[in-house]
Amino acid sequence: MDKVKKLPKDIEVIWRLNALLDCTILLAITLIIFIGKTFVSKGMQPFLLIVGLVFLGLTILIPLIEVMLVNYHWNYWTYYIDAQQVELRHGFFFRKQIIIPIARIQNVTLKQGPILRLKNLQKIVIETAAGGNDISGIKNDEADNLKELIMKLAREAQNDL
Amino acid sequence: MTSKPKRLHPISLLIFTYESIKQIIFPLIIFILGFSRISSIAWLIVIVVALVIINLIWDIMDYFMFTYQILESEVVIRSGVLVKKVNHVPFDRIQNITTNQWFFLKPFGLEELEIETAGQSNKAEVELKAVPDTLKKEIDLLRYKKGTTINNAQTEENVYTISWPDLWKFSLTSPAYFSALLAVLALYGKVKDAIKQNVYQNIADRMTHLGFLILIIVSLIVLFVFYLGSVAILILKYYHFQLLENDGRLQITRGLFQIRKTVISIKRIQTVIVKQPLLRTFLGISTIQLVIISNSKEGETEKDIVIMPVIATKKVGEFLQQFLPQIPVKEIEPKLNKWTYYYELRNATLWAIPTLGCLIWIGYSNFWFIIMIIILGLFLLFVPAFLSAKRSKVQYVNKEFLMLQNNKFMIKQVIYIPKSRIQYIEKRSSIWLEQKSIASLLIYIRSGNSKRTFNVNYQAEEDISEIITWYSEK
Repeated sequence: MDKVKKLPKDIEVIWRLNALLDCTILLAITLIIFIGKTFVSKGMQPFLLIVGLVFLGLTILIPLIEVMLVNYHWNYWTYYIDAQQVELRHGFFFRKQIIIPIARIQNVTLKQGPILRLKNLQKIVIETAAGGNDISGIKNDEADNLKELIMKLAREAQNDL
Repeated sequence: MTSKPKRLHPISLLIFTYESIKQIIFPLIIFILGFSRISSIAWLIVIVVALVIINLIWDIMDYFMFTYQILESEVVIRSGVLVKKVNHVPFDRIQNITTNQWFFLKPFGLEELEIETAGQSNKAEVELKAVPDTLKKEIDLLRYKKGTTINNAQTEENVYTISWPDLWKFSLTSPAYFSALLAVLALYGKVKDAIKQNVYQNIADRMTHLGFLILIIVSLIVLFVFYLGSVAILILKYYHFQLLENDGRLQITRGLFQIRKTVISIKRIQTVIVKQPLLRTFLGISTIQLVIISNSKEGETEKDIVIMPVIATKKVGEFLQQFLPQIPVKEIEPKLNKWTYYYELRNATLWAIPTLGCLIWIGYSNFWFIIMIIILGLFLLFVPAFLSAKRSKVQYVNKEFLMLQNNKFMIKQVIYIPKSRIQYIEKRSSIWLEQKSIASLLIYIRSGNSKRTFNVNYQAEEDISEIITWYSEK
């Protein structure tokens, strides 16, 4: 396990779907604003028009940026696990590097929503006493192995608050 | 040495009642106001009395269902009228024990006892409202079985007791006053809404007749009275403050009307913070606090235990050597990095433009208002940004300790963190910051009943990488 790994390529499909989902939600909000506009008093209408247009802009812009960045996002998302620590790196514009010592891990949770299930992926949440960190999604069997490995290492390491 | 389940002292029935009345008094008032138009006074009185009696009966049942039991290795609390609850608290899961003794409980030899654990509830795991003041000792005897007899013979004790000049210095320079002031202003806003508009207008008219000068004098007097009030509260709280180190435990005692005694074992300390608000920086005095795991009901920063209210900054090292010798004290000298200043001040500017813009747009007709807003805004945004750039620095002291200095609003913080207490660390950078070899570091630790983050922003990347290497080493 001692090497830096990337997420499976399939995660890109998930991220694109997520972008689509964001697009739908934003579109719904925009529609509600435009429909609501016809019901309010005259004075409020220009204000709501501006808000509606801003949301329309966001509906197009945000998912577009998300989709454009998917490849970069994937390229910069890496994880690394050894006997001492878990190291996560991600972000293209804003870069994060997170180091969690195995001995500080309280529990590991595997999560799978309907979208992740499509591609047989699971999200891993690594919890410490001061909050958790995610690995967005890796293959089912690999996730199970990873969970077993982390828990085995965590059991060996002494952990006391 | 184990005991049978015991009830609290009957006096706690009064405390229960007092607390439940405190809880229902506001809903009750709203109820009375709401129904006073619909129903007659007689009915209203009947309903209110009935409610109070039901409440009272409930409290009495509550009291009789509540028992505590001290066993060989745990405390067991049984409670609940309808839903029975049995809570087991093993001794080795106790984070700290606090006792509160109000002056009127002293003649009865009673006190309140609180046991805190690492559980994520937002009140102490065990709250015994009135128990004999010997109970604490009983629990301690069981908790620290080994060698208690030797300790009774007393190894040398490490004591610090606050002196009157120090207590005055502490109370007079506390920034707690400002938060109290904010609370009062918020309250004023609410009261203003409640007072009928015309009454308020009437008063305001008279005020303007009195003239601007008198208005200023009145508000100054009001401010001064609040200041005195906050000083008095602090003196009452920290009266006869005493820190005692004995056998790996710290005991903090303080208070006049309510004597509060907290005992925490040194190995449960998460980090140590030396704090210096701006005013105290000028006077060269600091406050030393412990970050601990607790689930007390107090606010996030009030959970930090003050172990040294006021000390000359020069003597902090000496003090830590005396009470917490495992902490290696070292001077911290932030290196001057122009990018740190650039980014901090740029962020402040990015905040300043929209906020000041909005405020000026609202009050554009009033020249003095604009001037005041600009001065205040520049002060509140740029001074903290400048101080952050000037103070931020992280370095490791030895294999086990990290030392971090940063600035929170205008408070200078020097934080000593043992490696074993860091839950995880995070380095933040960006595509642009990397080109200039700049990065930020966030340290996550456990605090109170959740987490706390200490950060240093916009540092030289090599400094941050050094810390990451230090942290990754076994």
